[in-house]
Amino acid sequence: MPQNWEHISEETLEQYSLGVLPEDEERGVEEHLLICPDCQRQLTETDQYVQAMRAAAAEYRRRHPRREPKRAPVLVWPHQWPKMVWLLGTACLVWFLVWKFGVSGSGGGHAVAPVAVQLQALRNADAADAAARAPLRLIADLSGLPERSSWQLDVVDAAGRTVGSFEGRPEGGLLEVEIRQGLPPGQYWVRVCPPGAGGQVYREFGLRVR
Amino acid sequence: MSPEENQNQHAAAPIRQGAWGPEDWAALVERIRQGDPESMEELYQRCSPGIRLVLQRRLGGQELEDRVQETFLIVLQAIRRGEVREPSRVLGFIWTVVRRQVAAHIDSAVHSRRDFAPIKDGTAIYDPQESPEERLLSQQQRQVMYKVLQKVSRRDREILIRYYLLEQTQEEICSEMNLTETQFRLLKSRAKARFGELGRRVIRQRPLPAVFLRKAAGSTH
Repeated sequence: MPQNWEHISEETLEQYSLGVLPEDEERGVEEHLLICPDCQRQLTETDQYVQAMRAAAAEYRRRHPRREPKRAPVLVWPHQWPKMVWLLGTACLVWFLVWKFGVSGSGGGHAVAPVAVQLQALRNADAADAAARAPLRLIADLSGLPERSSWQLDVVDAAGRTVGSFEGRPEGGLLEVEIRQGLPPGQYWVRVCPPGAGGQVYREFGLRVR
Repeated sequence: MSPEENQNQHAAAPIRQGAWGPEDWAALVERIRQGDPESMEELYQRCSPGIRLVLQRRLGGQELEDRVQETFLIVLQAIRRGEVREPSRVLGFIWTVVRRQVAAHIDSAVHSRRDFAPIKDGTAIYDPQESPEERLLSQQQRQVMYKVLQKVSRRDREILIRYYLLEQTQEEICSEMNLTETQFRLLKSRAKARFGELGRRVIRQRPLPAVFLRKAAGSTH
């Protein structure tokens, strides 16, 4: 508590003006204010200052409402996604396109030269090898078979299911057919038969696709 | 001179004019008790502005002068009857009378509101509104302070708003915002200095219109 003959500090005057001065200090302050013109003047100025500050602060709060802390958005528009998401998405798309069209080449519009696979009908000959899902050109040896204007090649899988039938004209004892979409990996049998023969097989070749 | 230096100097300095010690007050009380009219006048001159200030802050401006006179009369009568037990502490006695006056008025106001008497013809009604001049001054001060708030950093503004608007204590603010007591006081001092500086600039740029002042002066008559 200040003595009657000591001026009140600015801090105390401000607390008094704000009405937050502890009650036990209030008496000393008011007793001094009873007789001190300097502190009376100072208090009037402090009152004006506090009043102006309160009004301005209230106005500021009104014009600039307090923002709540940001939370992670659950759903945002694509333009709000971070750059990393875009980069990752682009990389995934490129990888998919390369995998789909660049490696397998099974897309219709992509011109990839078929790989020739010579089918041999020699005894104890190994099955021909081919790459999976790559365009194939199967060349079957027809030597020894009756002459016909066209022959049919039936490709069957290991379970005996026909996965494709291709008709062609033989040239020089060879029949060439193209399988543009290629074949999935597995063991296949390529059977030579007359078109529409209904299962009469003249020759059979082994084909291993990997 | 920084605001803090100014504050310290203000706090340390004794009252420059008419600084009285306890013995001076005791002598004055003794002279009043003996019926010296000049001493009564001196007590009035020394204390009435302060009594007025405290009463106004507590009760507002309505019937202020009457209350000041009434308070002074109670004090004088008590002195003359020898009821002031410690003459050197007469200021404490005056303060007690002022607070009793405040309490009595509040009690009376509560009762009158409860009983609710309609206003009679001829009853003076005090207008608690500011005068036009005061209103303009307040508006200017508010604008100046708003500019100050806009110019300080976000953190400083948060502190000022917490203290002056939300009425958080210094301890609460320092604790929540990791501030030392010195940082807190320094910030407030700077804001006040900036307010004074900007305020002077604004008043120089936009003095009160003379016509307005004449009207305000004329309105008192």
